Amino acid sequence: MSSSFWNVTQELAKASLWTLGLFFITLLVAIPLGFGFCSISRCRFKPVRAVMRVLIWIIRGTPLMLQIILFVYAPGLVFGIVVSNRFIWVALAFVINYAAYFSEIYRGGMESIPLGQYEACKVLGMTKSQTFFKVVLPQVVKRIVPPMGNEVITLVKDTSLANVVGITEIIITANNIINSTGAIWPIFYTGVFYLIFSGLLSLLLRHVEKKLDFYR
Amino acid sequence: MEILNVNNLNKSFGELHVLKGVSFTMNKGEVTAVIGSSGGGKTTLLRCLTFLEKADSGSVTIDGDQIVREENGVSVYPKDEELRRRALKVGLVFQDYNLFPHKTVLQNCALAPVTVLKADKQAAAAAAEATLKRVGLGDKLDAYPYQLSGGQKQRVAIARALCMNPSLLCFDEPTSALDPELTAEVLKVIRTLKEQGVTMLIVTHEINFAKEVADTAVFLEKGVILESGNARELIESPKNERTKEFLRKISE
Repeated sequence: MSSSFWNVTQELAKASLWTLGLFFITLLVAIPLGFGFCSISRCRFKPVRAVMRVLIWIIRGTPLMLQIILFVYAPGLVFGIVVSNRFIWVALAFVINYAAYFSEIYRGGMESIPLGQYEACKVLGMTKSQTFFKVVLPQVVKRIVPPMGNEVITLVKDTSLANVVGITEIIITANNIINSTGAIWPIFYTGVFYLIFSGLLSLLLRHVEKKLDFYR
Repeated sequence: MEILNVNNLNKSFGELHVLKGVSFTMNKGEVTAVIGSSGGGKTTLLRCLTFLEKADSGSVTIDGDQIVREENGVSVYPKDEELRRRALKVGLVFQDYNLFPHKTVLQNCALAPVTVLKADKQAAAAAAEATLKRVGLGDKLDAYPYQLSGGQKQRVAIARALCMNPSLLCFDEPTSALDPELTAEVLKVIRTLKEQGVTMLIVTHEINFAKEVADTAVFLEKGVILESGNARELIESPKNERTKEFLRKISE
């Protein structure tokens, strides 16, 4: 393997497809799944709520790296399932981890809507679902965009944790190049890939925030 | 014609007995002021009449429809969905407006007619515009609540409630979050509505306004109506000792 700039760029670009794949799969599944987690953690039936809150505590209270390792090795060790495609299990770990964080953001957003909004809807005769979709949800969306943006940017960088179980994402690819060619610079060059990606996301997020800036 | 009949209404929060057998009636086009010191149960009464709270016992009849009936000493409410539908007869203007911040002034007023009454969108917008003109906000249709003064917000809230054509419009201290100048513009709107025949039940601390605009007044103290009757008479020459004391205190 050569350590020419073009060659390294190509290798890292190829590896970033795994990173991008993991990123988009996580967002696509965790955003709706977080809503599920959120409604369970707000369930009126206490035991159900308690189980969800404990689960969220465990997910948020342990390193994502540990969860990735658990998801890749536990199926084989505990259930005897042969993990042939590690990427799927890694993605599952990411999805559940991020859904837990998203659900807490949603919950914060929901709970920040003043009671008066619900009462205003009630005296106007609106049903619970009309209240949620017409009045509560639009305001929740505006409030959760900044914290969601933070999480999304964090996710970009967290994808590098997938290398702990051998997914050939960007960092591990750069590491392999170092091992085979002796050139150190490719590991620092990976930063450029992350910066470009998170830079584009920041621009997108700012655009969304501006779109929602029509009211206060 | 009787628009409101409240009979022997009781409401407790835990140990705290807030309403102790409140009864009164209102006729169509009448304006009734509910006065009394804080903690006397005025807001709780209004919240029971607008179904934000459920009374423990007693009955409530609005515009000939006995929505809450009493059975074996306990208030019986219709099922949620039916209550929601029948409760449309009563509107409420909140102390702190509770406008929808993500909707324009016009949308605030047209939202419920469209979603709840299934009114045609354009017709609802036209009706909302007409109602907003009635409260003097014809030039603020496309503004968002954050762009308005407190008095303007409260007038939007009044228009929003009026757009549902309630038989009875309740006000929960509509001016207590406003300075005197803004209070005046809201009171002016309420005065106009009275001239237009809107039946209104107003919880207020504005005694002079109550005297001038209300037909009848109710003095509520510790959950009991101590005195009621012609508003001017009640306020100018109260008969009950507590009413006298209350009116003297607030005029100091």
